[in-house]
Amino acid sequence: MVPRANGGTAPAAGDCPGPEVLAGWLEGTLSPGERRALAAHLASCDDCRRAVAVAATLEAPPASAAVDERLLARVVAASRRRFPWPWVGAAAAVLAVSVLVFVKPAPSPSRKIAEPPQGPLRVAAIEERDRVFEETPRKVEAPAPPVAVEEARSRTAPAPAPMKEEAPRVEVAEPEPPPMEEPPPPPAPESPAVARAEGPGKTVTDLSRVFSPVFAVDPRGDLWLRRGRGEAGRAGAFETLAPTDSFCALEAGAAFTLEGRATVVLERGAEAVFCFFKPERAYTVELVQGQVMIDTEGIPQNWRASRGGAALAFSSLNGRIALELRGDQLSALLLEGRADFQNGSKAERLEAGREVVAADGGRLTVRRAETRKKAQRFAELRPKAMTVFSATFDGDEASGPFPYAVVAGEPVREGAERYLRGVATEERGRTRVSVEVRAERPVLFTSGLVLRFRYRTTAPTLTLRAGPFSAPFAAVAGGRWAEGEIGLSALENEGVPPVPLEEIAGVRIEASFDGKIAGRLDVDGIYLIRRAR
Amino acid sequence: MPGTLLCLLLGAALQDRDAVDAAIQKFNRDYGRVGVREEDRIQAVNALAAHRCEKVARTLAPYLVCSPVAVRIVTARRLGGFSGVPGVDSDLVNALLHPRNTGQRGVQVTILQALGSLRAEGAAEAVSRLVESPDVWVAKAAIEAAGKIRSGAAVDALVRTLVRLDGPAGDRDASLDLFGGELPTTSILQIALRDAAAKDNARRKVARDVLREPLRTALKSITRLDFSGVREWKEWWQKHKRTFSVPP
Repeated sequence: MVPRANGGTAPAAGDCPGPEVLAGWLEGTLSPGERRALAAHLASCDDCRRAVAVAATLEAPPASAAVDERLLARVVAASRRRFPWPWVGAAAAVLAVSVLVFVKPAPSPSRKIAEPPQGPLRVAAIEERDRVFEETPRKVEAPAPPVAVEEARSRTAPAPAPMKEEAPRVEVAEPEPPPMEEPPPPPAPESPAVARAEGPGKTVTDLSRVFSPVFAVDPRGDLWLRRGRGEAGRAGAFETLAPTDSFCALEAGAAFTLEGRATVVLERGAEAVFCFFKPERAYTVELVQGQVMIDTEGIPQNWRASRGGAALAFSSLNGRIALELRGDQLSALLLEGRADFQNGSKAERLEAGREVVAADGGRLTVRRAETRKKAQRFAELRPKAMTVFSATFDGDEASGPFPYAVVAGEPVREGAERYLRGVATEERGRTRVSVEVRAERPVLFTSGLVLRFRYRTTAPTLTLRAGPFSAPFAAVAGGRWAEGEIGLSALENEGVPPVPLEEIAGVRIEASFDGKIAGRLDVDGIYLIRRAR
Repeated sequence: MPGTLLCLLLGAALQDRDAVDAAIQKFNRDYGRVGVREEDRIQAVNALAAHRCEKVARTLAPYLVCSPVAVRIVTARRLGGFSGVPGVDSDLVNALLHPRNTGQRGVQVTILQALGSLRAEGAAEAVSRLVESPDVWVAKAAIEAAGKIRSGAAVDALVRTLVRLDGPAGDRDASLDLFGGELPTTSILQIALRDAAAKDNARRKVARDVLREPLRTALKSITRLDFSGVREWKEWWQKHKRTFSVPP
């Protein structure tokens, strides 16, 4: 062991260092001798190098800030107990250290990523991640995003608008349209990055002005995340992807949910970059290799697919599409649903069973193709459920994947448990105790949408409300924690059920008691989950 | 000059007709393709319903009956905006009374709401019959529609319903609010199960909470009168039943 300047020791090359040492590497607090020793170790240790690369994507905390030792120990202990791979525990500890000592910096207009959240970082167990979507979820414990959640929050469903100004536009007024915004006029799609001059002969491309990061949840299968040009690491329960990050499926197929709006399946060996192209309000996928399938889960969306010089732009994609690289050609086969795409200067309609092939130079070919095998493969690999909203009351209201506000309820912390305690109001001789959250980005109702929640109450029944729709719910009383679930199609608004594409802006859970009885309602987690079709 | 104006008007009409025909073709294509999803069907209905004319109403009318429930609801909602378009109210009434929509509470409620929005006088009789529906939400929608349509044919059913819901206790505030989202507490449930009269009273109290205010609002809208109690309404109606006509 190499002695440290502050009286401790640092590991020699060959021994994996503790999380404090890795954090010191990132913070620049190691002595030169310690850095040399650790550099030698990182040169030969893939696990530690990967952990440092992942942690480096977070904001570096000031060295003077304190570390919550107890919480750090708890995170490391928990991660080592759950993870069969030691490096994940190390990564978790490094991430925990990085975020625990975080202090919110002053905002800067040149910042590409938003301030990390206040509060502890938790890394989801891989077993937990897989179990969550087979059984009733407990908490979606995920690393907080280091990037602009404000982008996702302000982003409504992309409008199904043509990609170029000369494309025909259907001039109809929608009496009750889904939440869509008019997109700004798109720039030339061939040069999406904005370049700015920095002195003579120097040009810097500022991707953040046109590309927004996206987040991914519900990972399944052999899903790996590569940050920039670094090594790939197993994807966590919640990942935020910068425009330089890519998902890949190494030994087997994989899948994830993109921002609660689309299901993405990667075939074995596939790798792709995902982000959001702001000028056209379109999700983008850059195929590095292999095949990717996307299902928009009933929500019309704009998508751009590209590979080198070959690119395809789809507006109003509502269905399932398979994207594949074949040499220098990019193929898009619509398995289900429909989409509009640009073929030269005109918009064309793509129907299920039709394939568009783009070659370098923009040449497009449209032909019929067989869909059965790809459709079967998609059904095998896709997640069985897709989280479209989650509120876990861990202090993640603004920073989690689905930003929300607490409208009613008091946050309570009991040891490691965090939940909302219902607030009581009296009305006409009855006491109502309620918990309510409002989503920053309303969820669109589609078939298969389910409300799940974890609760504890002394009332025999609850009233569940999602948007304007409500239904009674027989509770497990007696003050024990219990899981509840109800399909949203069972709710009604004065006798009328929700119809697809109606907005659900919030969820309220209510218990009612006679007179001034001191009843109780605690809620630990509210989720809206869409079951696979 | 008049000839030029006539040509311009005819030209505009032809263009509108072409646009409507194109919209109907697009609707048929989008709605009927293989593997279409419910969301696509609803979007297709929304897109077509932006053209508010008789031809579109005729195209959409069958979907009030022969389509998934969600599509029927959306179609009824859209047709509720076809004010002044001939034949829409009869299409809605036919769908309301169609056997396929019997028991489809959401569809019936939405059709009744549409008829109210249209102020469809031709639907007054069908609406009045549903004022006394055993389904509280259908009854509420019918009461509200009757108030908007302002037909004298509904007054008898409205007063009768108001009297029936009052019960022996008179105009006291109910202690339950089932359709506001609450369920009765355990003690009330136990009482209700044990005692049939209490059960009926509990049900009546619940319906009263939902329907009392809409009933009063509808009667006030039709008669331009405002009585405070059920007894006053009952007495007034007994006195004026044979001579009543809807005031302007």
